[in-house]
Amino acid sequence: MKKKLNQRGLTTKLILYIFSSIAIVFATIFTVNYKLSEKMLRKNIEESARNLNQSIVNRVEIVLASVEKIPRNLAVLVENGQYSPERLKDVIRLLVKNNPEIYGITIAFEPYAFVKSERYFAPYYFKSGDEIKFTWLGRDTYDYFTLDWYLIPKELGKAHGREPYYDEGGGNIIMSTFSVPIYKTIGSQRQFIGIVTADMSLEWLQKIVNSIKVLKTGYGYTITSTGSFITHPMPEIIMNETIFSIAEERGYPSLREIGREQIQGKSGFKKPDYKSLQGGKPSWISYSPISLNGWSLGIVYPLEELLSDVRRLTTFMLILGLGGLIFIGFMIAMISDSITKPLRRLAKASKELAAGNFDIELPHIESNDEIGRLNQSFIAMQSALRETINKLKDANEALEDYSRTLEEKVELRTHELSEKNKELDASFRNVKILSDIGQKITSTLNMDMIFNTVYENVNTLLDATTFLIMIYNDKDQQLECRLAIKKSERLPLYIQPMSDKNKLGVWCAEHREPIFMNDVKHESSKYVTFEARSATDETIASLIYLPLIVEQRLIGVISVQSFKKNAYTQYHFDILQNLATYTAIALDNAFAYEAINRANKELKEAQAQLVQSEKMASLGQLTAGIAHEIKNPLNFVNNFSELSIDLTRELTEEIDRFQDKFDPKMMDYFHEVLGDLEHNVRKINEHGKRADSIVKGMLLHSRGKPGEMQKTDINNLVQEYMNLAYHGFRAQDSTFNVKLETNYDATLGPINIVPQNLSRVFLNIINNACYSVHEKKKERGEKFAPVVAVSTKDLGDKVEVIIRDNGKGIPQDIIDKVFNPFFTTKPTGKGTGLGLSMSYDIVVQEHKGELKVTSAPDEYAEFCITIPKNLA
Amino acid sequence: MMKIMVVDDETDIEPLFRQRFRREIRDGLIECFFCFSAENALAYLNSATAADIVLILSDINMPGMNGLELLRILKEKYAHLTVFMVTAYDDEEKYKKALEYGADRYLTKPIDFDKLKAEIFSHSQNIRSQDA
Repeated sequence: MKKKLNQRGLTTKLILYIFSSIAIVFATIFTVNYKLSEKMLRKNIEESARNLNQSIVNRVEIVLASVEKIPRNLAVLVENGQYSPERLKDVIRLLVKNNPEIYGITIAFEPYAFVKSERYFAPYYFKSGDEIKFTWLGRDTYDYFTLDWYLIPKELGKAHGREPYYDEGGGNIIMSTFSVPIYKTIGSQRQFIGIVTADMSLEWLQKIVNSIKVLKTGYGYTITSTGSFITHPMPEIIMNETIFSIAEERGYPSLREIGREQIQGKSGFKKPDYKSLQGGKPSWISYSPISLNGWSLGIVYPLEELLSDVRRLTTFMLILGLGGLIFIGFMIAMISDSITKPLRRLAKASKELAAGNFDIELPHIESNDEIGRLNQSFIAMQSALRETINKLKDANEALEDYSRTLEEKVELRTHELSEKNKELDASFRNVKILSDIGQKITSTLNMDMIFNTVYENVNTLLDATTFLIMIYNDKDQQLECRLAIKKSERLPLYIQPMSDKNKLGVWCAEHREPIFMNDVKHESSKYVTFEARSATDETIASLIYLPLIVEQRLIGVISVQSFKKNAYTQYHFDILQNLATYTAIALDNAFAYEAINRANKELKEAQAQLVQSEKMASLGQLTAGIAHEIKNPLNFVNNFSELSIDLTRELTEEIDRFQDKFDPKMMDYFHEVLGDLEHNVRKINEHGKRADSIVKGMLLHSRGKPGEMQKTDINNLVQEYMNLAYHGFRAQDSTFNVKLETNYDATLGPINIVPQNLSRVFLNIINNACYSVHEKKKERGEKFAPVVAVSTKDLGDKVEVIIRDNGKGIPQDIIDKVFNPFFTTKPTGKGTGLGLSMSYDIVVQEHKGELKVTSAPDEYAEFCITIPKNLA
Repeated sequence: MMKIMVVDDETDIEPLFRQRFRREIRDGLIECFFCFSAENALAYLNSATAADIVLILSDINMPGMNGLELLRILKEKYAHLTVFMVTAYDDEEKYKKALEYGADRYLTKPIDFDKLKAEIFSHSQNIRSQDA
């Protein structure tokens, strides 16, 4: 059965995950290692193959050169020396004897060139077994003049090596013939006289090349410039086959390619697509030319053997890796087993627990790892479970006991309930009354109506010989008794400060808890140490005090009191408690209503003031417009009157010039009329200018532009605006009169101020002073003498201006509000409430000075203005 | 000889100026021309005879086009003209507007003719020195 992976055990999972990841890592390392070492090895082999080839070729060339030197040297000897035929034969014989590579030597001369009588002269010594034999070459059957070995060097005029041949007679030796032409200088002419020829055995070459052993099956071979094999480990192909015939025969195009490169004298290292002739394994061929005679050497490297080391190493590593993997698998199995074993035991135990066997012995695990801790918790859980089950059993028994007695209890309760029901019916009537009262008192917002309703109803429901409602005043920390009734008579109202801790009402309000006593004499000491009462008072025996609370705010205290002991039951207390709740809500509503009414009234007043100041502002604009329009006619009045003054004067002068033409009486008349005319026009001009200055003044007050600092004489400014204020007041009310007292500091020079703004300050304050004294005058009549006093004083770096009046003064509670914008005590329409606020801004902000007020009600008000002298 | 144009809706301005400048007019120093509305002034300035006018004295408050509007047009179309505003209104707003439109002087009514004469002659000197 095939399980899904997540259903298998921990051990399997661990082995599977860890094992497969390690295996992947191993496989990667193997592959990379194999590839790298193979590449490295190949490079090394190529390098060493090249070296091997070169060293073999060198050896071959050294031998070849030394062998070829023998006929060359002999040729030189013959050319330069005089030898008898005998002597020549001796030399040849010695050379053959002493050189093992030489098989035979002859010197073949041209016809009659050496011995004049002989057509053929060619002594030939050659080895036959261990002997050296001699024969004469050249007769009619062996006419050597036409043979290749003679003819080719003769025609070429240089040494020539014949293609090797296989000497089957001479013991399977490959032979090569090397011929050197001989020349003799006769006179100035170089004349060909014969050939030195040496037959060489290539046994040495075979030995050298066959000595090449590469690993087990590698070997070397040599081919001639036509591709014939000279040496090869397989003798049957020597001189019988060429590299091309083999390539052709067996179908190896790459071998043909290698052969072509070899006969072209190139060197290389190639992998042909054939299996080597010997051993039949895939091989590499390294080849290089023997430059002396155009042969080429090839070395065959069996690939398998080359790579065998790498393969062996890889196999070893593979075995090592597999061993490691098996070891890791074993370790994982061990670890996971050590984890899962206790877990399996725990799982088994918990199965038992789940089946209800709480006393099962749990496995004991020593270790302090997670599993150990799990086990400990498990043991703890088991004991807790056991305990709980025991408790449950006990509880179950107790429950069974209880259910038996319950039936009896139910019977008893049913009886009690029917009794209670009867009582409830009775109290329901009272509840109805209470709810009616509640509705009645909470629907009114009039405080007295609330008091009366509460009292009437309390009286019908319980004994209220004395009845009190006190309102708590949070601001003044006192209880204000608003309703006090004793034996149906209203008592005078009174106040209890909250600090008077000996009053029960204060205790109740402070603790917000009810007081309920049916024997005051003995119980009151719980609340107060001593409750002061008047001597005539009949003793109160029972009482209830209840706090009136709405939304946790204390409204006040309600109380009923009786002369009788035990006058009140819990039932009465409850009723009063209900009433108190309604009363508290009703009173709270009434207070809120009062507050709203008050706020509404204030709002309306503020609105009226705002409307008024808006009116004043538009009036100001109107004034400005009118003032400007007046300036136009004034322009004409002033200018024409000025012109008229000049004209009158001119006329007077003209008349004076012609006075002799007039009657003196007439002259007097003229002078009188002209004098009056000039005087009148001058008056017109003067009053025109006055009107202009009034208009200017009006404009100053209606304009709000920031003023420019100007050097101004403060004394003059104050005087000017005091006059303006005074006359303004007179114009409004002809009954107004005031004594103006001035005390100017004459040493005061002009200072830098904004005259049009500061003049408004003076005007405002003096205006207020006039208003105040005028109001007081209207109240007091003749016996009051109003005075407005203005004084200036130089304080060094400052100037002080004091304006004082003996008018109504400013009440203490509003003196800190007089500079507030829109604050005014004047009736609506008489003041904007902006005068002093604006003055304050001008003095304090614009002039960096101070404006202070002091006053005593009904005595005086004094405004003190100080302005620094050095204003920019 | 300097030709001045006075623009004011009050016709009495003409006898006033003629009397005030009697001597200068008699001596040929000044010639006065009067327009009683801004529209008239513009119409006159369009005519050929207006070419020699160098100074304009204008009121601000006039029915129809007001003096500030006139000033704006004058400074746009006749940049070479010197314009004095002469008005009963000396509030900040009108003053700033007049300066913005390029008024050369801002004088208030009642007119102080001694001051006006001084301004006119100092200005005519300026103009002459610029011409030279």
